[in-house]
Amino acid sequence: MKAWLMLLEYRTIFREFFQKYKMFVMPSIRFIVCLLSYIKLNSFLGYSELFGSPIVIVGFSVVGAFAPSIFTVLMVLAYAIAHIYAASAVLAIIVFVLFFLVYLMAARFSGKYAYMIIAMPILYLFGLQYVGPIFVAIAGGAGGIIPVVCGTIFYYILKLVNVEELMGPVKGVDAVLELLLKVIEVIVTNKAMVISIVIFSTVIIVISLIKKLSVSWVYEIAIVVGGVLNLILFGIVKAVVEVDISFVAIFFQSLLAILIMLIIQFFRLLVDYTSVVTTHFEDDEYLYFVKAVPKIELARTSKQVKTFSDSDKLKSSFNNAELEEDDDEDIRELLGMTGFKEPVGEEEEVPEETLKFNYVRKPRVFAPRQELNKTTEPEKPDFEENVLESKMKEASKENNTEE
Amino acid sequence: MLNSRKVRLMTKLAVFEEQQGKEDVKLSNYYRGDYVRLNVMKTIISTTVGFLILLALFAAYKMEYIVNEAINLNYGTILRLILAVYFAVLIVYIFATTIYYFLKYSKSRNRLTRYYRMLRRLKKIYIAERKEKEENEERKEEQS
Repeated sequence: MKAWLMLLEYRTIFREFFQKYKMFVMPSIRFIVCLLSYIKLNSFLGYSELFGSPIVIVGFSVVGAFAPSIFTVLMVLAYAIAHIYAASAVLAIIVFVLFFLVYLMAARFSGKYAYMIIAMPILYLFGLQYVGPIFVAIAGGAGGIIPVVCGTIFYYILKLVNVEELMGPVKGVDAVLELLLKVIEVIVTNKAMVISIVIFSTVIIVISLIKKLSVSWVYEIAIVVGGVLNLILFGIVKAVVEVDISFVAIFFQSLLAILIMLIIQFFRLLVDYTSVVTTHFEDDEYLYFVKAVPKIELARTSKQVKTFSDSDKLKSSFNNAELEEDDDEDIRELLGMTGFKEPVGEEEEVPEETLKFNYVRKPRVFAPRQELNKTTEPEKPDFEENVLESKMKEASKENNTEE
Repeated sequence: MLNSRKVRLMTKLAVFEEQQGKEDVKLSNYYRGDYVRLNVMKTIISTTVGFLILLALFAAYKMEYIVNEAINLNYGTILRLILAVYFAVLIVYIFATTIYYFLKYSKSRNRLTRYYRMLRRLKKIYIAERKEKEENEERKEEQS
């Protein structure tokens, strides 16, 4: 318990540090991620001296730190193709066509996780490929299948450069066709790619289903179950099918993936909610320059399920701190917990047709039409008054005559 | 004098407009049907181009067989098969695109509903402020 509280305290310290120096921290993190990616790609491919030079790598990383995500993804793809082009121009063109084909057929549905298309090959190079599907499933859902599958295919396309018979000078149309045939054969007969795609898709679906359960610590349970399922499925496949995958590597990489994802989940709220936003707007009187700093409460660390049986319990379970957000404004207004009074006075005009409709529905046909803003008591119909008056007059006349 | 509730609302509106609201406001310019249809058309184009590339790769893979059996091949049957596969793939993609963008539009509308709700609250605050201002002016006139 003490260790847990210490961890939460450190997280709070990190959160405050992020909030204070977000402008410098985020580009730095992006720079480090880009730098590691380019270094790893260079060590895996490494055919071009120009693109392998430290100046180019650092320069690309600096651009990637500040450019939009989609531009960074395209830069990494272009970097990989540039390396392959240095070894074999024809192979580079074939790889580009394959990348383009995968994009046309699948990447349109990737949504906001399109960066996973290039993140998966990089994770593969670092031996952290099992983190990708679990991360996408936790952060997004079943829709993350497509970018993970595209990323896996991209990795196995990049792996073509390791096939010696594909790397070499190509002269003439026959040689180009032969190279194309070999590439297609290598991709189509790649059992490891197909198995990885199937297992990753299964893991993502299972995690997405577990996430929907209403239990406490659901994300942590989903991560552990996803990692164990990944290990079991790859183990079964390894035992049944002859695949070039090491079981020891699968075991340790799955455990590492679970550990990394638990750490990411611990800090996920930190990342989600630590985005300090500066904005400006104006009204008739003032020009506002606002810095919005999100709050994080320790109670929101993991999903806690509350059940309510009646409205009193509902009312007592809310407190003002939880209801500060305008999202819950309606609930507060319903429960009468807000001090704000609706303005009285200007009301929306009722169209004439509606008035007529209401008028016709009234039982007293001779009642005068009432104006909207007047708060007068409904007038009695004229004919009733006249009848009453006339009767009273008659009665008084009779009395007078009798007297 | 600053109205903290108004500032809080306006901040949330501004933050929404700068982040998710950009795309949501763009989507709000379309009717749901038009948005889905537009993306279905893009999918048809990209699927057709992708299918042609796949066909070219398959033809290259089977080039030796095609060259050897060029005279004996039943091109009518082959064409019908290709078209059948093409339309089957296209239908699957159109179906997937329709569902995907339909859901995307619905989620965007939910976010926009919250945005419009905040705008209505802001409008009420403005009405209340204007009324208060008018009452103060009337009181000043009466006093003078």
